[in-house]
Amino acid sequence: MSGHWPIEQIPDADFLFMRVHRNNIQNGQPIPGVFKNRGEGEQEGMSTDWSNYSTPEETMRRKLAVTPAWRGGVIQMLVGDVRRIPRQTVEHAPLPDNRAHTNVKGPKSGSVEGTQARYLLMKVWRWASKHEGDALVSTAA
Amino acid sequence: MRRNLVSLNPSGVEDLGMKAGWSDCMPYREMQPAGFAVHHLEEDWPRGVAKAQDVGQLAAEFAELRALVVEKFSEIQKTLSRGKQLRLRQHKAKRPRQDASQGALPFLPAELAPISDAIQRSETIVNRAHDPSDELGLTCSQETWQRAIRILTAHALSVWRNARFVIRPPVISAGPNGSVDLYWTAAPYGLLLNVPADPKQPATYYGDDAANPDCNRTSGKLESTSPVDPGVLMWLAYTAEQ
Repeated sequence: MSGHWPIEQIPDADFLFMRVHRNNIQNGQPIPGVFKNRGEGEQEGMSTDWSNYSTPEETMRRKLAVTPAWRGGVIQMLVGDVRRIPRQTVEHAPLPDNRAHTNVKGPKSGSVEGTQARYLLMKVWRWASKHEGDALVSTAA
Repeated sequence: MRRNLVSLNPSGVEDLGMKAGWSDCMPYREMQPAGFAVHHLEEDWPRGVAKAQDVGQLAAEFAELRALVVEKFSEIQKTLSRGKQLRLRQHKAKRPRQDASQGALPFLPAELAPISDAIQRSETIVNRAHDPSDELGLTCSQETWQRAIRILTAHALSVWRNARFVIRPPVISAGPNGSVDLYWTAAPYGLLLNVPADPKQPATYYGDDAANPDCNRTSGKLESTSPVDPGVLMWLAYTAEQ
């Protein structure tokens, strides 16, 4: 259990959604720096949402609810693609207010492995939805 | 004995006897005192009161002229120092930009203009102001950015000089923990080079060939002792515009 929700196994065929602020988009693509671990200890990892309990729009709205000025988009990554990256693991880490919350753990900086992980993550993301003006534009597959 | 063969001419010049009788052919000339006659002006000046009046008048005129020269000289000095201050201020105003781009940037040939443009555009990542809506807040220091630019230009110039290829301009962006990323994608080849914020830590890189990622890839650390890395060079040559 983590908070109110049980920790579950995430199938390789599911997706992870992640917000990308417009400051971190260049030429219509996220920059490699968006693949970054946050938090400390057990909670350290790259924060994403599991598609089983979230949609790209919900991932974005959760942010807009607390930060109305936020602008950007949501990317998606296939869980199996992420797991194939050396030393990266996908762990469900539900929060009391977000059952979908999932951490991608493993080095993302300070080593060749970290640079490799971010390079390979740059190859597996796709846009799920972009925030243009005040409208959400879904591009989910 | 030899001396007997020598005769003296009237001017005192020795005749060595080679041309015996030479002095006899020359007209006799009495030696004249050297120099010119000096006409001492002072002797012609009227002595007494008139002379004292002239000296006094000259001294007054000299003092007047001296005051005028000092005044003009002072004005010139003021003008020059004002100009110097202006130049210094203008220089200081431009200096950050020179430090940011040209200071770190060696001369790049015109063919590498896309690289220069990418470098100039990337200046915005240096000490970027905090945006409260951006939870990542990616930015970097001037020193880290300059280190990344030095690595980029060294490799671009090396490929250009050795193979006459122009490498593609990378995406230059702020990475995790104050680092700088240089990211190239030119299907099927790609490369990510990360320059950490700590100048003592080596830059790291990873790249692969999407058509054959398991067998054809490159990775490693950039040694600080060598300006260019052979692995990076080879990969950038692949990504160059053919």
